[in-house]
Amino acid sequence: MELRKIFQFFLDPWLIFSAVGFGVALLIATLLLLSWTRSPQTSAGASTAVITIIALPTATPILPTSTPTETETPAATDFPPPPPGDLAIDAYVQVTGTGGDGLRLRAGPGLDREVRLLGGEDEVFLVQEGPQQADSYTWWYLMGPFDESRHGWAVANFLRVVQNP
Amino acid sequence: MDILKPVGITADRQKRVMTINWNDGHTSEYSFTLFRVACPCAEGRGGHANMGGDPEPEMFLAVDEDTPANRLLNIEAVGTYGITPEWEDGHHYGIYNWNYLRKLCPCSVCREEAE
Repeated sequence: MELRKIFQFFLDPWLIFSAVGFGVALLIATLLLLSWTRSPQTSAGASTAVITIIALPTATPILPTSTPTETETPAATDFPPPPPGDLAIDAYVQVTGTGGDGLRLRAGPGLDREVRLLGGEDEVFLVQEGPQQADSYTWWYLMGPFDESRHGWAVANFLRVVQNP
Repeated sequence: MDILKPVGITADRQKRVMTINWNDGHTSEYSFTLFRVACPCAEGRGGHANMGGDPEPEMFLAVDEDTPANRLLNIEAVGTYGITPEWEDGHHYGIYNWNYLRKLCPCSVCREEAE
């Protein structure tokens, strides 16, 4: 009698339906959890770094460099002469000649515009806009090729064109 | 946390320095001499048995000199896990993965962490 009751209990259609439903829900939850935990690692490993090789100097005369002062509005004599006229939109440029101090990237062309960030010596940017003249300098709008949050206007005097990464 | 990897690699053949900007914000600057001395290839590490280890402390004491062995010609990506440099003396067998390059960072912070 007891065995029959137990047997009838396990044959209850609602119990079978609930068990199957619970199993399916558990499977879906597991798959979702796996896809959620794996995707960041996959995307992190998939991207490659931007590799830039800066060539040795050629017979072209090397531009003299000087160290910018710490003053917010340096005199014109603090800046090295602008590079030859090969700066253009879509060119890759490198910050150079700052003596390790970095190059200020501003919200607009002009020495009175807000400094957004400091571009590091040797950091590479993509030229997106320009040129514009302000405060006796030529300004270009730069953006980080691998970090679009790094952008702003910079004077051409501390930029040099590099090979496309 | 994301896998530690470079977001930008710049090799300045004039200054003889390779700079790596990492995705955690750290910047590593390697002299070409250190970069070459630390070549992880079998020849550079004295046999296959010694490959795959961490950089050795003596590597950081290498005297910088300008010779064909440490004049860099080119760097190529190896998959998405490392780079291989090509040197003026023809050597191009070392594969530097991201983990090894980060351990090779000569900055004082990284060296203290390694010790």
